[in-house]
Amino acid sequence: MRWGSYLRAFARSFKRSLKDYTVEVYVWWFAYLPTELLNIALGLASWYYYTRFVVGPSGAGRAEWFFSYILLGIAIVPLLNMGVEQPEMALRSLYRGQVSTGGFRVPLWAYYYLAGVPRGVAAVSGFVFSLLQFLVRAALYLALGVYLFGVELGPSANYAGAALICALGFLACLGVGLVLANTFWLFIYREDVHVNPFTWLFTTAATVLGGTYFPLEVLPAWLRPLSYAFPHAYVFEGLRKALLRGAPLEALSRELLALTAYAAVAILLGALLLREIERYVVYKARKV
Amino acid sequence: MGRAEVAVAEKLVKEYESYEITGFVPMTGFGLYALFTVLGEKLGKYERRVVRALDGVSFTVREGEVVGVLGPNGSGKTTLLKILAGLTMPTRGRAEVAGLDVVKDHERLPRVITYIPGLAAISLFARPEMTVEWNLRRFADLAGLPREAVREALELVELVEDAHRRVYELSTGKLARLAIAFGLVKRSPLYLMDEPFTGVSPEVKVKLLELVKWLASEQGSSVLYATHILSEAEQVCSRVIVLHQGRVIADDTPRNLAKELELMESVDVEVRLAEEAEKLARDLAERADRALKVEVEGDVLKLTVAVRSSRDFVQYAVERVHAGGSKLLYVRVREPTLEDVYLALLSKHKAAEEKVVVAPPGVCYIFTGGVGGG
Ligand SMILES: Nc1ncnc2c1ncn2[C@@H]1O[C@H](COP(=O)(O)OP(=O)(O)OP(=O)(O)O)[C@@H](O)[C@H]1O
Ligand SMILES: [Mg+2]
Repeated sequence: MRWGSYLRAFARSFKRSLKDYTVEVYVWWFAYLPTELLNIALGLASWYYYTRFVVGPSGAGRAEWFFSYILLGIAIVPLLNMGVEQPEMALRSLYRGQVSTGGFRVPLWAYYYLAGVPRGVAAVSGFVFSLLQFLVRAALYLALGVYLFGVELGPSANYAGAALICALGFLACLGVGLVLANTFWLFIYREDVHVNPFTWLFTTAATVLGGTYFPLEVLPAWLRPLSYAFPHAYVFEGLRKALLRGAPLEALSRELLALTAYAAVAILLGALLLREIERYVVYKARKV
Repeated sequence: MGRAEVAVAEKLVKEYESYEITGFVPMTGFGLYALFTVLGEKLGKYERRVVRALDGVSFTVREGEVVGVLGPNGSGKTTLLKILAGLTMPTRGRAEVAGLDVVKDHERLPRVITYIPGLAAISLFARPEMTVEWNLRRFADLAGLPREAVREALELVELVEDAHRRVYELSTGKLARLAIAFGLVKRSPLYLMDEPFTGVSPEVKVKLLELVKWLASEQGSSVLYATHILSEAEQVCSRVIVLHQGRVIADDTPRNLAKELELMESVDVEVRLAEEAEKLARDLAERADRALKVEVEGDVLKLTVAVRSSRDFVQYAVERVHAGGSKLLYVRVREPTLEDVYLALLSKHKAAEEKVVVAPPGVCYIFTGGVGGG
């Protein structure tokens, strides 16, 4: 009964996001989509020619391999980072608001609340909406890479394994995001803080140290343990094994296990912290 | 009366926490500036304050009642309405709307209230580049309400002609009407209106005030109506609650309050004299509680007095004037207005104690963002 009403509220809330989005539909078709496509294509082109330059004319075949290696990194990393950043952004968009007439501060959650959509449901529907957008973006990267630049993934690529790795990696990142979302309360009344420094630090470090652009073996030994603290490391290792070397599921067990554990612990901890701290801030600290 | 209770408040207390900045707060920069800002604010001088916006407020609102919430700026009217609407939580005490506890049944509360904060709602509810109707529909769809509700709400606030105009084109008063329309798409047992008609021109306001009365009389809904404009309250409210520094200082009909405060009625009398003006004026003034004005223009005496009971005074005046052979030209009785009641109440409570409690420092310094705002 209760879940049924949550589901209906979710559907209405999701429709609202879509509706707001379709308002900008002309912007999407005429400005956003072409620039996004161009952006992806130009980004891929620079990597394409860069790999050709680095490998040199004699290294036929190696340039293609190098390019595929990079493509997997840059296509997937926005999706992972989105999992880290979204929970905090959802909180921010719900609780931020301008002071209006009557000394009345109007945050977005009040809009949903007055329409009978609980703020948790509103946050989840917003999250699902951006997840879809980022999935489309990742798919565009891969599609352009394959069809425009002729990337060939290994002859016996393990797509199912790769998808599983990505999904688990995303959940692990989401867990980290839930933990880091709690830092939002430090900035609740600071309308000028547009980037959360904690999620920014995590995603930037994870992008570089997690192996988006290079294998972790090239890092100095003392840095490697740090790299393995990020879920990104397991995702990229597993993904490249599965797609470029066609590793079967058994060969991915180390990454799968690590990501499952990471996701379980982080999501549980994150959800618990988020609930308790929000409750504390709203009721006890009298912040809202 | 035997009518059902729609809203109950019992010893409600609402405290806000804020920080008074007395020291240096560094400018913000770029990059990791948020971190530095937090550090900077910790190094700056702060005094933690707890503002008690509501202090032991209790009352009930019954079915079909329109209750005015009056009080000076900062007396807690908005806070009270926000608590009943579920937009903020009470610190202590209990509040119920249609049997739902505002804290425990928070999620179900929107089904039984309609919150109309006037212009304050616009920035939240409307996308300015879209049309009036699009914005109302978006809200109605989100709330799962039928499309007809949008049309009806537009008709009620007389915005049908502007339905296809963009919101940024609207004048202040029409924006205020749009803000009201967002509330009216939903019917519910309790309407919470917070200075709803600010900026609305008189001819439309008259209709909207009628609408408020209609909601109560025909639909059986109750209305809590917070306002400074006492003439509005006088027109629609069957009862008023007056807040002062977060406390209820009066809760009754305006008439009873006037009686309680021993507010006097004023009586104007004009007489064409056939006797000595001074003598008649003295006799009449002696019968009144206070003479406010005595004027003689030719053979016409104009007298204004304040009396506790206009009935007795007028009866006496008629007899006395006739007895002297003079002719009564004009009598007018003015009952005390809500404004008189309100001003009298406030002057009585002026010497209430300080409401700001300064908490001991060093307790809750983790959240340093909170200065002002809500
Ligand atoms: N978020 C907040 N943080 C700190 N203090 C607050 C907050 N919101 C309200 N207050 C304080 O609570 C008190 C009551 O405010 P409220 O807005 O309820 O008054 P009001 O009766 O609606 O006033 P007005 O007639 O001006 O609208 C005021 O002293 C106000 O400064
Ligand atoms: Mg107010």
